[in-house]
Amino acid sequence: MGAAMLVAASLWWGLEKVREEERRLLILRGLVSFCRFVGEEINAYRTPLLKIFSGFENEALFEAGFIPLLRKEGVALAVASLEGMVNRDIHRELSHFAAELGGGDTESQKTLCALTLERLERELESFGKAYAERLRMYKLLPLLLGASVIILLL
Amino acid sequence: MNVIERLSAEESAISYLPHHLCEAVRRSSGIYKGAVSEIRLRLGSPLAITSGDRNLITGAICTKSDIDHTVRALCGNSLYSHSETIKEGYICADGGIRAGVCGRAVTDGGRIVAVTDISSVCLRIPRRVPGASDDICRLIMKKGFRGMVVYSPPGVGKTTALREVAARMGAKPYSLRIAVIDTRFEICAGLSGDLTVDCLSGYPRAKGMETALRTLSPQLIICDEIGSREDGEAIRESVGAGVPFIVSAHGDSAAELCKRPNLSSLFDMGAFTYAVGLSRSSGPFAINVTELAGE
Repeated sequence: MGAAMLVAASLWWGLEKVREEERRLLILRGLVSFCRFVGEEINAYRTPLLKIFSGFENEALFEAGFIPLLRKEGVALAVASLEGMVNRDIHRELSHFAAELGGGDTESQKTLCALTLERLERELESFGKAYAERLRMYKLLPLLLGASVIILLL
Repeated sequence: MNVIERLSAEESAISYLPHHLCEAVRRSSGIYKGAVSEIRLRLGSPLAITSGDRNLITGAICTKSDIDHTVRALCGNSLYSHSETIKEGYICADGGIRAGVCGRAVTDGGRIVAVTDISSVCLRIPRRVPGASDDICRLIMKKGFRGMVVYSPPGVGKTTALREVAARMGAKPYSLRIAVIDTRFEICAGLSGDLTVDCLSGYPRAKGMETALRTLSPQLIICDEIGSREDGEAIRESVGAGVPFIVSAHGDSAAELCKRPNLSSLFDMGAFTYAVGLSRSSGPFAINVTELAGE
C-alpha cells in the first residue's frame, strides 16, 4: 500500500514537473512572439506601445498573467511578474528591454527588439534541446523510484 | 466646446505633467480655469500658464526630469512613434493636445536628423468656438467662391477657425464633402458628430491634397499652415481641378502674404477669392476680409 502511494506521489510529482516544463516552454515561445510582434509593429507602423500591447494575443502569456499586467500597468511590471517562470539571465535581459522600450528613436528601438529577440530565440533553442531530455527524466524518475521502492520492499 | 469640455481638455493636458507641476497649475490657474490656452515648461525656469494674452508665472521650477516625464507621457511612452514630429518641433498627443518642443538639434547637411535634450515644452489646449466661423462660412457659400486664405500671427486661432469651418460646413444644412489635410493632427482631433468630413491625418500636405483630389472627390479642401514651396505647388496643381481650398498661413496682412514667393503665385493665379485676417481686437475672432481680384 505504501509502495503504491509512493509510486502515485512520484508519478504526480513527475507529471507536475512535465506540466511546469511545458508551461515554461510556452511562455518562452510567447515571449519570442511578443518581442517579434513589438519589433515588427515599431518597424512597419511606428505603432505606440499602448496599441501594440492591446493588439498582442498569446494564450500562455495571458494565463501567466503577463498580458493583463502588460495592458494595465505596462511592460516593466509585466516582465517583473515573470520572475521564476524564466531563467534569471533571460529575466534580466527582459527587464533591460522593458526599461528601454519606448525611450528612444525608431532605430534604437528596432535594435533593442532585434537583440532581445535574438537572445530569446537562442534561449528557446537551448531550452528546446534540454526540454526533451528533462521530459524523459521527469517521466522516468517516478517510475524508477517506484520500482526501486517495490524491489526494496520485496 | 462648452465649459465642461474645455475643463476636461485642460485636465487632460495637465495629466501629462508630473504630479508637483499638476498641483502648481491647479493652484495657480484658479481664476483662469476653463480659459487656459497654453502651459509652458522651460528647463530651470518656473512653469508658466497662458490664458488669452495673459501669462501667469507659477512658483514651480521645471527640472530635466519634469520635462523628460512630460515628453514621454505626451508620446504615450513611445518616443519612436513621434520622432518625426519632434524633429518638426511638435508632439501630437491624445485629445487634440499639441505640444511644441525644442531642444538641441542634431543636423546633417542642414537637415535636422534628431532633436535631443529637450529644454522647452509648450502644451497647447485645443478649443472649439461654435459660431466663430459663421462669417467665414457665409463667404464660402457665396457664388464664385474659389478659395480662401486665413491669416493671423501665431496663437490667434487659425487652426480653431479651420476646425470650426470643417465642423460647420460638414454638418447640416451644408453637409459639404470636406477633405481636411491634417498634417499635424490638430484639426480633426476636435471634430465629432455626424459630419461629412474626411480627415487625412498625418499626410504631408502635398500628398494629402493629391490623395483627396484623386480618391475622395471633395467639395472643399481645408489645409492648415501652408507656406513651403511644396505646399504652394500642390495647391497650384490642384486649383485646376476646380475644388476650392481654405488654407491658413502666418501673417499680419494680406499685403504681407502677397509678398511671399510661395504664396504670391497663388494670389496671382487667382486661387483665392478672399484673404481673411483674424485678430483678437473684439472677442475671440474678429475677422478682416479682403476680397481679392479674380483670375
